[in-house]
Amino acid sequence: MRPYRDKVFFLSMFFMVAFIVLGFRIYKVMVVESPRLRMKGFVEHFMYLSFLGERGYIFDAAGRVLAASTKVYSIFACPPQVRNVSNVALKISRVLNLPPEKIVKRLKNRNQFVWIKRRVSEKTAERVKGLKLKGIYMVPESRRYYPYKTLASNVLGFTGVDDQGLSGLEYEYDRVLRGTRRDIVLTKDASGKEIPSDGIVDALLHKEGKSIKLSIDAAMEYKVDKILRGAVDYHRAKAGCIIVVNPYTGAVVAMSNFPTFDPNKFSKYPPEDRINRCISSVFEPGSTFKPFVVAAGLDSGYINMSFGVYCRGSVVYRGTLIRDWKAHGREKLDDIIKNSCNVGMVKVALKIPSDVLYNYFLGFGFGRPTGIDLPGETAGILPLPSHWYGVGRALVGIGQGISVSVIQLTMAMSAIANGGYLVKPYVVEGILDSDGSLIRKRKPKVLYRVISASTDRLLKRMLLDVVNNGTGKNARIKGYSVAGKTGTAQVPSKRGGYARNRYVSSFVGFFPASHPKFLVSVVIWEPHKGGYYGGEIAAPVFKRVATALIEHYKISP
Amino acid sequence: MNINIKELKIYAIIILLLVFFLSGGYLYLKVKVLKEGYAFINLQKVKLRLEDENRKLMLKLSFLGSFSTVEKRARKELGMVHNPYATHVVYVHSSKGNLLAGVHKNKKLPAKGHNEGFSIINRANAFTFSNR
Repeated sequence: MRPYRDKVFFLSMFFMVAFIVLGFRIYKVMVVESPRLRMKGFVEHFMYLSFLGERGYIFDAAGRVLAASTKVYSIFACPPQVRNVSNVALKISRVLNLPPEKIVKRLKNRNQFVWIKRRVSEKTAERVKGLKLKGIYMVPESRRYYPYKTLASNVLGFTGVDDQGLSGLEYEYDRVLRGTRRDIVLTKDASGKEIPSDGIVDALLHKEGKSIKLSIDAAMEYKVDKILRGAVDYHRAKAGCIIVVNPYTGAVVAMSNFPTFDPNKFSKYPPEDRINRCISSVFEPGSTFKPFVVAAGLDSGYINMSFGVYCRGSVVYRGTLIRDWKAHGREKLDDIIKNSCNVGMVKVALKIPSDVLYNYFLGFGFGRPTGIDLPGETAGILPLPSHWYGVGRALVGIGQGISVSVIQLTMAMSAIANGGYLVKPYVVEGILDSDGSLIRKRKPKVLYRVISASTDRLLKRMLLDVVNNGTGKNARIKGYSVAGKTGTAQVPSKRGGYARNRYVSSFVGFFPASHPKFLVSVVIWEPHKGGYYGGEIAAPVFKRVATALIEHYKISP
Repeated sequence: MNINIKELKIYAIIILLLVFFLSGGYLYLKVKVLKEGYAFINLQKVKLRLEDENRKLMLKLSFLGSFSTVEKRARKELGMVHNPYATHVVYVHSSKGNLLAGVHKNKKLPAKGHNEGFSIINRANAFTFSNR
């Protein structure tokens, strides 16, 4: 009986030990090693794929690519998975051209995720992949390129490291341009290939961002940019802006800024070079504002063409002496505009009630944004009539004491050029689908009539006279009728009043005067060589831009 | 009940054959769908790669064709320079409706900086007015 009992004992002991060992093993597998094994199983059976829908293109009016994105790769690490940190850092540093100690510092980070280098080329990414380093991964990303570099860069804007629009059209149309990103997890088959499923089909048919087509013509923009750069350099000016629009539709054909920047390396430029002065900067318009004061007077009936003054070269209003650039003698209304006479304009402004003037200024679009499809547009500064203290009311007549943006001035003059209608400006003409088909086309928007057709005809005649016989002679183009207005305004000083020897020279004109094809605004900030009058500085620039437009678009007189 | 064994056998064989062919057909279709799925994914991947390549080439073309690059090469490689005489073209419609072009020439040299922007202008079809 004894040997039998011993056998049973040993057998039960054996099973007990076996169960204990098995229990420990189960505990180890199920509890201790569970996360690792689960991950291993996941890696063996599933795969992670990321499909990136590229950001849409930006095309100019002729279909030239002004902005496009291509795929790049960003290298990242999962530090807890990296073994032999210094060896891995050394290998990667050779490929990525980074100092090894910088990589070591990142790999010693306790986080689960650290970027090693973002936006490397496909070739570099392939080389990193070839190293087969544990814990080092890569993810596809998009990088924006601007082939025309500085051309219209202040309008286009730029994108950040995560491909989000940060300024200009890139910011304004971010939701349209942005592509969709799809991250999916797929089941792998025995050979390691992904098993077809609805998920992958859906992901492969991911959507790219839509593209936008501008009204800006890159060829014209290039010429305008060169003209502006030449003028700013020659006159040693602080900055300059040129806007070319179709006065009937509000389509912006060129919008040039100088200084400007290259959006491919935007961070290397100071912030002031990256702003779009055409819409974000304000200045006191000076004489270019006079036509709107006259328009208000004529249209409201407070003055007529027989209105006349005698200019002695200065006028005193409420104890303040307002000087003119010369004594013009006896003048009628058209002479006042032609000679850009300050004394005459002060008297015109004083003839019109403040609220009437104010309402016409509002009607021309001053004191509020024009609604152009660009971010950061300023409303300008148009004080309420109750704030036109002392000499303020007289100064408004000569375009001082108020501030406007170049685009406001452009659209207000467009209203005179097109027969009296205020139109909304735009730079994006249409939105294209990822396959290039037009899905939305912009319709020009006429907001309302500002002045009557008869007032408009009178103003056009006066502005034509400014170029033919007045201060705008330098804008004259043989064979073509050009209408426009010069402007020279003083720059407000930080200490109050106006600064000495600091001026803003401007010219706003359109041609052919009877049926304008284009309206061009030129504003040069603080020129220091070759004079400072709008007729000396801005009018010749207008002429060069207009000549380029005539040649480019083959415009007949 | 009178069961005909022979008939039963025939039915059984027919049912077995039916099951065999139907499951065979089902399997064949399943494999076919899977195969086509793989082919579809491969083609989509090729399409994506080609689209990517196309995008890169388009971008390269745009960089090479940008005005500043063309101008730089025209100056460096072809030795082209600005026309120092500011000119402009007047376009007029002839009686036949054709667009004619004439050049107004300035005889004196313009001030420095005043001839910028006239670098790449095609004057192939322009002729000079006799009354210049």
